[in-house]
Amino acid sequence: MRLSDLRDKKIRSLDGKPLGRVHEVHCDKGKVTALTCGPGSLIERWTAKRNGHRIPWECVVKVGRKAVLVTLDPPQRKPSASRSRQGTRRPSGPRSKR
Amino acid sequence: MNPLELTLGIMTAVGGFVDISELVFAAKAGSQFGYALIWVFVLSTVGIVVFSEMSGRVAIAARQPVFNLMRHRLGLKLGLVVLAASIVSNLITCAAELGGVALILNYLTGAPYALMAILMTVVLIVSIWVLPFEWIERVYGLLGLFMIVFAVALVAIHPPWDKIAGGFVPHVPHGLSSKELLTFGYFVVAIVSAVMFPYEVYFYSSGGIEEGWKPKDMLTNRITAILGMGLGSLLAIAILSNSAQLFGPANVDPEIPGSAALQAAIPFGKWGLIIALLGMFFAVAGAAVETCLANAYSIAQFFGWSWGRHKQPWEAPRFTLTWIALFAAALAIVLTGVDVMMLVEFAILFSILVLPFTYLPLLLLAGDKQYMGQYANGRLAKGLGWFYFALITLAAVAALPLFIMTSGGNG
Amino acid sequence: MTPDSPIKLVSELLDLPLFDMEDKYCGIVDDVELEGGAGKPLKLKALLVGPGAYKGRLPGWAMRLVKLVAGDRVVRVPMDKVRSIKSAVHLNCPGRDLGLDKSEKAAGKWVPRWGAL
Repeated sequence: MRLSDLRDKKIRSLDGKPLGRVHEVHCDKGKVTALTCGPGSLIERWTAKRNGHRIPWECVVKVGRKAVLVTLDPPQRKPSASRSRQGTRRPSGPRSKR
Repeated sequence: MNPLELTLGIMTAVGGFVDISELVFAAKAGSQFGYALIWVFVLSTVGIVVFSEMSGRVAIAARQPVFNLMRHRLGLKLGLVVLAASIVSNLITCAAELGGVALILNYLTGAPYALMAILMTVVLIVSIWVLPFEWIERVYGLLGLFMIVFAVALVAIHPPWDKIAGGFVPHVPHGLSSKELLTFGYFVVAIVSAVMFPYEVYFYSSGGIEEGWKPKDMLTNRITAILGMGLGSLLAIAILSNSAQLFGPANVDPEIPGSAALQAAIPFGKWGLIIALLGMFFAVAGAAVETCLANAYSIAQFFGWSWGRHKQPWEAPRFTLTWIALFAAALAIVLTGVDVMMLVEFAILFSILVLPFTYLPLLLLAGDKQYMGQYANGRLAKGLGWFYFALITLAAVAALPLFIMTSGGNG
Repeated sequence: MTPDSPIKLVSELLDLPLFDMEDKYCGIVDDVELEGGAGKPLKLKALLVGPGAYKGRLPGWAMRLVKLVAGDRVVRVPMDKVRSIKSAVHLNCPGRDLGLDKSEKAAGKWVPRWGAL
């Protein structure tokens, strides 16, 4: 897989709800940890300011040719010791329905 | 800061300021509107100083040329669009400069225009091949100082200095018909475009890296940009003022570039004419070199090729083959027989349309502390940068309609 | 920043210039190779350098144009060859060891090696 296979891809939840496009891929210790999706406007890119939903990689179910499918029910995972990067929001990925 | 290096840098910038577009539009502006467009030269010069200083600062602080950073910020797709647009704009400009030089040689020697165009292309290619970067800049820039004859000619013809001073104040002349007003508007846009050509910024920033500028050269960068371009613009204003004094009252429309040389011939006779033509020759030839190299820099930097004339030609072979191919393409355009004036008009038009896409990424990069650290834009640079971005965007929007409505400034 | 640091691949790695250990300019990060997939860890594997790496980023007609001007070579730079990432990517080996100079060498056959001061 390449970064270009993820970037600008549409993101949909499993029930078909569109969540935007992938405009950032977060990495830590050499592994992809999350995707950021949202409108990803040109102005945001030009000003290097990014807002949007942060989706943990564990929530990605499938990387298709035209879209990335994600679950809104994240699997159980150990709490991460890594801090959020300066300038990004704290992880606010899809919450569980409880 | 080495005073000799600084002086040479300033003088090179002065001699290299005027190119075929500024020559033509300064002369035409003076003959049609008197001294009324002087303030536009001043306004545009401040703009090019702001962005040149910024591009030099980016080159020093980020140690990368503007086009490299532009691709990183714009992304590949939009970066490719900007690259394609600037290649077209710079190529047409290069062809206009080459055609202008061939025309000047034709005036000087009487030899056929097409033959002079081919000869000059070979001379320019050989000069870039043989000379190191510093000497390429200095030879054309310093010999372009013959253009000072226009400033001397202005003093010699005893112009109305009060009217020239009045031209520095922004205003629109009274009593213009709506057609003349539109033509005035077109000249404003054309002068902004001619002074703030995109190739200037690409060449200046890449030149800074070619010369190995470091943080200690920040002040040199600033002084060279301000003094060099500021004094250079006085030459363009001298050409405009000469034209206002000599051509305007006689209803002479300086349609061809050679007409400007008459400004020095009238007070100084044959030698004035020869010196003026020599000054024009070196200034325009220097501009042809700059536009070609600026294009080659953009292409090489965008695709990640080795680049620069601080290397030997065989150490950056793809870059070398690119600038040779670009000269050949510019020559091919000239040899189609298209009028040099038409090339100048198209160069102006394409450039103003590309300008916002050139300057916005540069403005954002120069303000980004991640790249620039302590050298990021301060309040003054930010304020002036955004003001000029708004101005050139307005000019870009107005350019095509004004070009069509005024038939390229011919009323 | 090292390859193990937290990094945003699009805004902090993609399209950055590459310099080798001799501080020689070697190209631009044109794409990033990842290993893994959905449901398993996705690791940073290599940087891809060369116009051939634009394939996933440009439409077909644009790729044909780019191929005309710049060719379609791709060079793979494994992540273990990356020393640091900041405003540029710095490698811990010479670029020629990874084949990053092959295209320049091929073009160099067309350029005479004399006449310049």
